[in-house]
Amino acid sequence: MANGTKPMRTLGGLAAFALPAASMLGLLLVWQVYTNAFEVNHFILPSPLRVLNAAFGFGLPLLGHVWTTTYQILVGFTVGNLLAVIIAYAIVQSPVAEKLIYPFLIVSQTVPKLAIAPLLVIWFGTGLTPKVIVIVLLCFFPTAINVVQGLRSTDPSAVDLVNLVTSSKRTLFFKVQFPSAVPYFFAGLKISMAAAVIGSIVAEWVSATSGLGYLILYGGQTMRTDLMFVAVLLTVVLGLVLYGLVAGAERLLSWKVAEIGGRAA
Amino acid sequence: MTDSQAAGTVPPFVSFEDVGLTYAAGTSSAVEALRNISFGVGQHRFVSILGPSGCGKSTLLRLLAGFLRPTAGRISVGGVDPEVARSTGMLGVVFQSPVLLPWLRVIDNVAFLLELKGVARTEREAIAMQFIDLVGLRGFERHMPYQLSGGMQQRVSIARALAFGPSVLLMDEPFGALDALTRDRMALELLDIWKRDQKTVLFVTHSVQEAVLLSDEVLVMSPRPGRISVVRPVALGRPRSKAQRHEREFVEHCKRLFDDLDADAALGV
Ligand SMILES: Nc1ncnc2c1ncn2[C@@H]1O[C@H](COP(=O)(O)OP(=O)(O)OP(=O)(O)O)[C@@H](O)[C@H]1O
Ligand SMILES: [Mg+2]
Repeated sequence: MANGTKPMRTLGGLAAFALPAASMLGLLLVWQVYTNAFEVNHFILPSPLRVLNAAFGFGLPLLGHVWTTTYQILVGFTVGNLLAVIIAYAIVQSPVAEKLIYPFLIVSQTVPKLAIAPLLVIWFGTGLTPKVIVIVLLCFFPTAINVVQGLRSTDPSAVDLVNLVTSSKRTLFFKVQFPSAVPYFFAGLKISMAAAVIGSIVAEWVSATSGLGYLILYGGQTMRTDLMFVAVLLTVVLGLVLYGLVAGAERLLSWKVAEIGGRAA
Repeated sequence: MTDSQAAGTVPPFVSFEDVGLTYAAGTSSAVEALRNISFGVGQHRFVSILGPSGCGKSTLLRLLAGFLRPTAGRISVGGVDPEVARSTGMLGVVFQSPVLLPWLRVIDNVAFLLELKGVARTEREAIAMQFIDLVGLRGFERHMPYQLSGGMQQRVSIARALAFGPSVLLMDEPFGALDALTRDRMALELLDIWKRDQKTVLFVTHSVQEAVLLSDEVLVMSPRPGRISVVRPVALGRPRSKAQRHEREFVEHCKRLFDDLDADAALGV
């Protein structure tokens, strides 16, 4: 809906894309020139061209690894955020639910996710399940906290306003509380997506036979630094694309609040 | 006509009987906002409420709208409890702040209460446009609230209250953020609507002139805890016009109200 015009717009549309692209290209160029000029051992730091070469050498199976990781992220992200919204709704609606749920929220954040990943493998095997659980644990919290904050951000006078016409809780929720919370929801989703990507890679390190995290480990074990770089760079690209999708959905679906920062886990 | 009406003992349309309100009653942070408030407002009357900041004017309107329950006394609107009156959709409120929904365009904000009421889109938008026009915001109907100035937002909220079509209008400093000219124009528009649609209006203002220009009666409140110190009828003919403001009678009314406010302030010291 509304796209807030930035108070101070110093960049044109083209420059907004061209400048970051130029700085990235510059980095790659420096990297390439540096590795050539100083004849850096490619085992320590492969040049960008060598990394590109490794990617093409690996060929189509690379896409399979990308898909494994993407799929895990999408499943974990979806489950985690559905859970987050339900939890947030319960917390806001009922003080009893809040008291019951909060300890779990806190504990879920203090448990080191990486440390319990091996335990999850024992319980759930080496398939999709333990990975999804790690991702869910990492990504539900930012959304839950933000949505709680969003649902509570409703202007009390707006509640009075609705009450002039109806005392229906349902109407109040759908016409005021829910729309008030939407920008907070997206602020949470963006942090959640970044967390989901990390979760997926970390979960694959514990046990996996495919995926970008697996590829990083595999590259390390086989002394293929170039392959590790391929996997890391693909993870960065995947993260950017997924984050971009969430940000795009936000632009389409959300109105903007001035100055609400999302809260990190 | 029943006997009681003939005898003139018919209860007023809006009545406060010995009403008190204490916020957070029974706690250490209790604030007594209103004490012993008694007054009546006849149907179709225009009554203003004057009083220093913090004397409880907004609180009084919130009680009247049934958003708060009195901690003492009784309130009735149209013979029933304020909450019951509100549930019949007869109460319209202009809050002290605009309370616009930031995700809705101006036209949707103005039509919001009609939407909740279940009025069909084309119909409610037509009504909304009419009131957007009335408050002088034609051309801004597709804007978002953040694109409007404070005074424009306030006018949207006035349009929303009027579009809802309530028979009782509770207005909390509705023109507070407007420039003098717009303020006058809006005040006279309000008088037209009040007359035409036979509304009962309770109007909080800080402007003595505005109170005199608009009202049948002015309630003057004194602070801490808020009480009604005096009720002044405004014995000026109708229709009212801006020109009247310089007439002797008008000026005398204003002077008397200023004296009332001064006297309260002196007591408060
Ligand atoms: N929600 C609240 N909780 C506690 N005290 C309150 C609350 N709202 C108002 N008060 C207190 O009640 C008193 C009256 O407040 P109210 O808002 O009714 O004043 P007012 O006459 O409308 O003032 P103004 O002209 O500044 O709008 C004040 O002393 C205020 O501190
Ligand atoms: Mg007030």
